[in-house]
Order: sequence, then C-alpha cells, then structure tokens
Amino acid sequence: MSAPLAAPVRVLLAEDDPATAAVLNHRLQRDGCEVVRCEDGSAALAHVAAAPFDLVLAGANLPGLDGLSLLSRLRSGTETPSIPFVVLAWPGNDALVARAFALGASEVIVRPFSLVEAAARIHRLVRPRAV
Amino acid sequence: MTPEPALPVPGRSGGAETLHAVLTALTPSAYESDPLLQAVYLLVLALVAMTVLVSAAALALNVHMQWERSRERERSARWEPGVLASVAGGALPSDLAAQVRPAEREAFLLFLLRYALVLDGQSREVLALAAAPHLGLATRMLRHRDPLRRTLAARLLGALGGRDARGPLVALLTDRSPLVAMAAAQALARTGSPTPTYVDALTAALERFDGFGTAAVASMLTAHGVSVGPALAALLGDPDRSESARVAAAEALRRLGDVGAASAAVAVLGSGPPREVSAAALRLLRAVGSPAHAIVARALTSDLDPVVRLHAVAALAALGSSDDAVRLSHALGDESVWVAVRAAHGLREIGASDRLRVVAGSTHPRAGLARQALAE
Repeated sequence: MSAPLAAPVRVLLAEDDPATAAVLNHRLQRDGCEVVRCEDGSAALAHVAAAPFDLVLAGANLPGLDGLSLLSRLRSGTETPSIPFVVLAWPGNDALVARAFALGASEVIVRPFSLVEAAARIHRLVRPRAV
Repeated sequence: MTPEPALPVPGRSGGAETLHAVLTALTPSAYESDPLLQAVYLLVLALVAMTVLVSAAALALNVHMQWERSRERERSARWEPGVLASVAGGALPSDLAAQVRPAEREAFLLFLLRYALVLDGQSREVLALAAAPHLGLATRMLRHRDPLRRTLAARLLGALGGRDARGPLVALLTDRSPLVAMAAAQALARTGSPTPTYVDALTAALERFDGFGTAAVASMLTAHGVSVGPALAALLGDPDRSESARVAAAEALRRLGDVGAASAAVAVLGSGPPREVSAAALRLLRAVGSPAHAIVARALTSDLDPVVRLHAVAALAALGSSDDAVRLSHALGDESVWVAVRAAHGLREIGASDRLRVVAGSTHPRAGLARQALAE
C-alpha cells in the first residue's frame, strides 16, 4: 500500500501587478502548490483569517493594506507570528527592503527577478512535503 | 387668426422644448420679426446640436474603448498561456511568436513588456526570443516624430532587445527630447553588462538629465550596476562637468556602496569643489569610507559653509573614533542648529552619549537639543 500523498503547500499570493501574479501563480501551481490569489492587503488578511496558509507572498505596495502592514499584522497575530512571508518589491527602495526584514520578512524578492531563483527562494521557506 | 404651426423641435432636450413652447406662444410677428428672439432660438438650436454631437462622440468613444478592452482581453487570453508556458520552459518562444497576426505586433510587444519588466535572467531571454521577430517595429518607432512613441520604443528595446539594442539606444541618448534620452539611459541598464562604449556615452549625456533631479538620475545610474563605478568616480572628480551631474554620480556611487569611490571622494574634497558637490562627496565618504578617511571629514567640520560642516560632522560620526567626541561636542554649539542636531546624533553614533547627557543636564544653549537626541 502506497503512502498517502502529502497535502499541497498552500500559498497566499497577494499581488496587484497582473504579470507578477501570473508568472508566480503559474510557477507555484506547476510546482504542486495550491495558490490562492488576491489583489489587495485587506483581502489577504481576510484569507489568512479564514484558512491556514503555509506561506504568504505579498507585494509591498498592495492597495488597501500594503504588504509591510500586512506583514506587521501577521507577525503580531496569535495564529500567524511565524508564517513564512515573502515581500515582493520594486527596485530602488533599499529602505523598504531593510524595513521589511526589520518587520520579520522571511525573504524579499525585488523585481525584475529570475523566476528560477525566486522559486528556489520561496520553496526554501516552506515545508518540503510538496515540492 | 390661425395659430402658427409649431417650429421643428431639435432633439428632445427638455430645456429646448420649454423654450420652443415659449417662443411659439408668442405672436408670429413678434417672434419672426424680433432678431433677438431669433438669435436666442438659433443659439439654443446650436447648443442642443452641440450637446447631441458631444454625447454621440462620448458614446462612440466609450464603445470604442470597450471594444479595445475586449480585444485586449481576447489577445491576453490567447497569448498568456503561451507566455507562461514559455517562461516556465514548457513551450518554445517561436511557437508564441507565430500566434501574432501582422496587425497585432505592437500589442504583442506591449504584452511581452509587462512580463519583461518583472522578469530577469533566462525567463526574460525567453521573452526576448519571442519578441525578436517583431522588434523591427520598435526599431522603426525610434524615428517617430512623437517623443512618447520614441520613449516607448526605447523601453521595448531595452526590455526585449538585449545586447543588439545597444547601438540604437546609445544613439538615442542624444535625442532632442531629454525624456527620450532618459528612457534610453534606463533601457540600456536592462541590456546586460555595460561596455566601455556605452558607459562613456551614458556619462557624457548626464547633463541632459538635469531636469529630472538628483534622485532620478542616481537611480538610473545605479541600475547599471557597480561596473559603472570607475566612470562615475572619474565624473565626480571632473571640475568641467556640471554640479548636478557630479552630485548624481556621487549619489549613485553611494547607493552602489562602491568602496573604491572613497578615494575619489577624498580627492574631490581636497580640490575645493562647489558646496553641493562637497556635500555629496561627504555623504559618499560617510557610506563607503574607512577610519583612514576620517581625517578629511575632521578638517571640514570647521569649514565656513554650514552645509559642508553638517555633512562633515555626519561623515565624522561614521568614520571617526571616540577621540572625535570632543570635536562633535564642539559642533553641538555650532551657530547652525542643523549642524548642532547632526552633532548630537553623531555623539550617540560614536558611543559618546555620556557627553550628550552632560550637555543635557547643563545650562548649555543646546541642552534641549541634547535631551531630544537622547530621547530619540
């Protein structure tokens, strides 16, 4: 009898740039992740409150609640203080990157990024059960 | 007397109908013979006609935009799976290029641009391969009379053209529009490792970007990476270049963290440059200098210009040692409050908060400032 399949890694992808969201969603799904997408921080917060995720990928400049505020809220929450959190940033804002790490970001990916490298950085953060 | 037949009603405007009713209620002789009333009627007629025309134009524009959006959605739905599969290595870029009809070339390049702006490495090379058969359109667009079209062409070539785009982009650095030249400079940064030829052309064009501000120019320069460092250091030390170009070069070197530029900053500071260049060189020295460079900052803490003193104090706080606490304490009493504020933070930075506490507890004129620095 074969061992039961591991549950797929659940990723919340909160990103308002359609191209970024599309390439990451495609890559993560291809890698076996279950991806839930949204385009603003408030919706992301609601998703996290509604169901558990193994990883959150969020744009730094999300409308509604920006990515760093979302990170701060999750880090101070009782359910999600250690959830792996990846911030997606645009280039030329070193201060934002530093602030993201200070707030507890697990990783910061600055655009333009190599999809292979970004995927490797993301997968390093999640449990190895599905990828 | 039989009533005059009603005049034709132009359109269904409520205001016009009311006015028409008023006009027809008047006696024909009064209406037809009064030039003022006729003028009013004609004016109302013209206004109604104009309203109808504008409404029709707005409606047509709206329909056209909806049609364009619907076409864009249709094209995206047709192209996106292929783009994502190509980027992920599951399809050939040539298959993707074959899905493009001749009239859709520009739309296809713009579609690829969205992805090229967020992807790098092999993924972007795949996009460039898909774009290659259609990039002739962007090259032709470089000669368009509209600067916005030339700017778009620069962005397309930078993101999707690779090294082959360098020649046209370098030529665009001397475009009559600074906006286009800046787009070309930014686009060059995405064509791979800089070559001496393009770095020379880029640094030679810097004065053209004065209107964009130091931060924007420095950001553009930083995008070219550390290999432009030596050229920027040379520019910083060149007294024949504009003040703004030298300041932008110093700021870019600071952002790049180019340690090798510290000696250039020291040389510049020794040549008595303009105030803003001094300040920029001191900011650079603070970021990339070593304790060996503290002597330069130390000397400038007594410069006549308060702006230079301020940045010298900041550099000394980063590069100096606890021995510099006396000098920073002295700067706390500087006639410029900004220098004093920086000195107070500098004392904390070099670990001399005890001196700051002494001042805070005394009748020193800057005691309040010292207390504030301690509280932050």
